[in-house]
Amino acid sequence: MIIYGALHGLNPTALLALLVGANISSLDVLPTLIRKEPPKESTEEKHAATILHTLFFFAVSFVPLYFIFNLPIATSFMIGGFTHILIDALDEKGRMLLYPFSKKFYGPNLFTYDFWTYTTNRKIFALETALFFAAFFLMIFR
Amino acid sequence: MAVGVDLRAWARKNAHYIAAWLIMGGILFVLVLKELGIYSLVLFAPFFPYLAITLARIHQEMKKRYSPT
Repeated sequence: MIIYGALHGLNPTALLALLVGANISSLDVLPTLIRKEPPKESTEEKHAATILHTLFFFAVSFVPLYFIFNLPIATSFMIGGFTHILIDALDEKGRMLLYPFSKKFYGPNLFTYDFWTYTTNRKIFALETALFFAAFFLMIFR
Repeated sequence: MAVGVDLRAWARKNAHYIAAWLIMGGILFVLVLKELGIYSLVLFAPFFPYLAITLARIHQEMKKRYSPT
């Protein structure tokens, strides 16, 4: 929403493509809904460890989306996806940024991965609140 | 590190955080609807049951994982 609010001239379809791109990675939470036991460590979650959480997926998706739709939609989808992966990569788990060349998880280990500590960590909350206000004002005064 | 969570105690202790997250999410959702139009709900609606199932599953797992000392 920050990207959409900051860039003039984008139509609402681009916002939709940004949002779909930014959220489609979360579909890899599906396996966790059918498992019998959760892993001992939250960083061993299958979520965020599939191809949907790689930059490669969004780079490759760009091509069919460009031919099926158009350049703004394909680019918005890719930027939305990249934003998700790169912000996710800041946590202690990191993400497979170099997939398919490497299945290693990379990241600066700035945030916690665990949902419970993430939502109640003051620094993270301050950052997320700042992002919220940026998105809010950019959308209001667009 | 895995964290054992007593959901009720956690929610009581962090009610202000939960309220703030929900308010921020709600406001952004309204702004998206305002921008895309109310009919975009047709696109989002199929994901609401999925969200509810996910939350219920997280709740179940957390209850199982938590063992009061």
